[in-house]
Amino acid sequence: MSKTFTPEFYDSILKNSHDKITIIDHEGLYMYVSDSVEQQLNYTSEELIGGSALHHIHNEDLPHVFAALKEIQNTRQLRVKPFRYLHKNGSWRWLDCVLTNMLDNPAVKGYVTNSRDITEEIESEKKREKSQAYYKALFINHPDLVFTLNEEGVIEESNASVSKVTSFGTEESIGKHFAQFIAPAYLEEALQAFRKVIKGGAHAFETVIIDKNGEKIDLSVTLVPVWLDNRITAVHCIAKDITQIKQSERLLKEQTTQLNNILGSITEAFFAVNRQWCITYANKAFADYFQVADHAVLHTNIWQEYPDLVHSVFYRKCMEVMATGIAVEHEEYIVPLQAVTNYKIYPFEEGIAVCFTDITAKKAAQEELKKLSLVASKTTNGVIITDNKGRIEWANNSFLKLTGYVLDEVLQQDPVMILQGPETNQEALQNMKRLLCLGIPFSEELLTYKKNGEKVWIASDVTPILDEAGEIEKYVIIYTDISDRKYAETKLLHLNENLVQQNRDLQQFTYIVSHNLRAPVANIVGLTRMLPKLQSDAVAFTKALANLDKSVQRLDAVICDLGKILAVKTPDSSEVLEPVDLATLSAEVAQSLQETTTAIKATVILKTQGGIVLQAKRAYLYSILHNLFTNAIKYRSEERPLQLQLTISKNSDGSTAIQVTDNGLGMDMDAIRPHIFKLYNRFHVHTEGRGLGLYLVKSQVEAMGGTIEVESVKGEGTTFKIHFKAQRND
Amino acid sequence: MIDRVYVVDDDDISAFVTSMLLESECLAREVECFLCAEEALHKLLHGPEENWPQVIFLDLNMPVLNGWNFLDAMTAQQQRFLQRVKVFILTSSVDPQEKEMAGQYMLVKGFLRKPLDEVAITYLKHAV
Repeated sequence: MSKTFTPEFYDSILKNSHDKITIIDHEGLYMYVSDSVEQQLNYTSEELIGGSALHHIHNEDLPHVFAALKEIQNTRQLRVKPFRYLHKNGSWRWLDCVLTNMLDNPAVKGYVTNSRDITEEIESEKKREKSQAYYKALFINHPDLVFTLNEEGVIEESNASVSKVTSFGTEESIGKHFAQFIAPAYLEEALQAFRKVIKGGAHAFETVIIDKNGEKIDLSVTLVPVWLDNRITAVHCIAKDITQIKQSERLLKEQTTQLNNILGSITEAFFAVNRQWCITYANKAFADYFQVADHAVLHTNIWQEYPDLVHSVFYRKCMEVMATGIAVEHEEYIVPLQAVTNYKIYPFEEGIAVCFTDITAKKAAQEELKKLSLVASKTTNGVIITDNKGRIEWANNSFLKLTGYVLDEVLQQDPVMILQGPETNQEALQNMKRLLCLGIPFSEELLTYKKNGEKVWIASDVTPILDEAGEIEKYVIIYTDISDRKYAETKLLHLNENLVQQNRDLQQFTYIVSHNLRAPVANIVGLTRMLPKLQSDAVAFTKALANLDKSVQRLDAVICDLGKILAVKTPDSSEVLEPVDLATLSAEVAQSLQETTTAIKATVILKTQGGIVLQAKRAYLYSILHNLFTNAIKYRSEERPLQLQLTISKNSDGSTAIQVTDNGLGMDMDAIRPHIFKLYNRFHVHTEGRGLGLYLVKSQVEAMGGTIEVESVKGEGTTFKIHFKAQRND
Repeated sequence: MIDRVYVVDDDDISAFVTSMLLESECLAREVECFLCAEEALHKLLHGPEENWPQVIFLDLNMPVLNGWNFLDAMTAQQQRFLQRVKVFILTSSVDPQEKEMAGQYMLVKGFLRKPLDEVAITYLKHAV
């Protein structure tokens, strides 16, 4: 189709074109401006025609626009480097302009400019460049490790910090899978993080890699997925080297753990409160003491938790320390705890720390010890403590009193050595030594000697004190003075011996009596058997009959004797002692025998003082004197008249002596001394006497608490001495 | 029949009973009683041997010189008396201890209880 277009046609095209078309002359003045300029830059063509095109160009762009205008004079067409053109609203628009030299076209005769607004492109390019710079700054120059992984995890790019931190060169890391650098323990976690990010989420985590030198490096990693065309094509990683921080953390953690362990291992209860009185720390001992979990008390306000404490000295002390910053120590019975505690309060920056010990048991033990020591020191028993070698370490006053030593003399001494003496039972000592080694408590009675040689019977109770290993550590020995008991025992023993003797006497007595009873009975039996065989008128018959009578009388006499003896041997308590005037009594006895003494021409001398009165049984005294007088008469010498003397005297010590002396037959004392006072013992032949008299005398004297002795020389005479001890006047 | 018997007993009635019995039972031709043991001992030790009795009845419980002293004195010259003089203890009460003690003397041939009865007499007739 070939057609010739009208000017209106061209005009319409220009007007509606996006490009701004102008024609300028060689000086740059607008000769023509297309109507599209209005659409582009809001100017009307009339406003611009005749004006300079350079007028609206940005100063900075003018040089190269001038250059282009100069150049176009010699060339057909050129493209001007984009420049800024002032929009009517005052903003700058970037224009891309093509100059065409159409001077030789007679229809135009100017330069045609064809400008397109490229502001959008320029700005977009600027933005792109900026973003490039930002990226570069973020990536290459970032002080953290920055690298990019492809969707498979292979390292595509890495920045300088990566090389710097890991010592791996860029070429050594590019193309490698990231997992190759992760420390084995952290591998799974890292892979997990990568999987998560690949699915579309950003993720931050901490991990450890191994650097080229094999050193572990702690990293804090942030993974960001890179989206392109609605899918994740890469993963951007930013990692911070936190090795130092981690190490510090670890160190801090270690130190904290160590501190906790230390505080926890302290057996004293320990807790800390801050300035708001909230418990910030409590150790295990504290938790154990209150039987709570250690964490249960944390952050609780101590005064709220234990309101009763407010009334304690502890409260005041805490306040004081908090205020003054000076540590204190105090001991107090804490009412809510019902315990005596010793506590120390220390100030520190955030508050105060309290360390306390329940010393109730210790206090009680101290009290106990105090009491015990009081007992040990004040008791009347001697108490000593020795070391395991038996050497005295401590002795109470009673021990010193008991032994007569002073403390310095007994310390470090073996008590056995200092207390023993000549009469101490060596066997008991040996026994004691043996028992000491066995470590068991025992008692032993010993005769000991005071320092002054005085004898003391003691009972020693030995208690060995064993240590935890069961070894003897000390001995506690308690000495009791048992002298009184021992003497009582001796007395009892003596009494017992007496009893045994008396019992033996009694047996003897029984035997003698039975013998003496038997003798006349035997005669009677013999005579009665004989009598029927004899003629009644025979001399023998008469004699037998007379003997029978005599025998019966003897039997009767023996039975009478028995009565007398038994009366003395079993004293009747109703027979009380009475005051007996010895002078009067002596006279009575002498009087009763006067007939006989006169008949035999005996001389009786009574040497008595008046007023000697004896508390006695009158009948006994009478019997005694009578018996002795009768004996003197009975056993008088035929060769000389009897001289009988009775002397009664009171000695200076208050005792009374009665002495009966005769000049009779006398006795051979060597032979008869053991028998003289025995029952039915006779020492004279051809004389009357059954051997009862002296036995009775002795029994009666002894029944009244007296003693009797006899001295005699055969053929010269006999003296009986009776002695009564001084009597109390009651 | 025994020619001569000594009865050594301080109890006159006992001595009377014993001697009467010995005579009535025709055990002894001649009975000599000693109320004092010393006299009897003196006669034995110092008197002519032909006057010795074949049997002595000896009481134990006597004053001054008792039966034991008597036996001791005889035993001192035991060889003279053995086979010739037999001693019988004659006591009113028999004590087992005394009986045993008497057994120690070779001269003692028997221990008898007063008074002598038929059984004792029969025994004596056989024993001497």
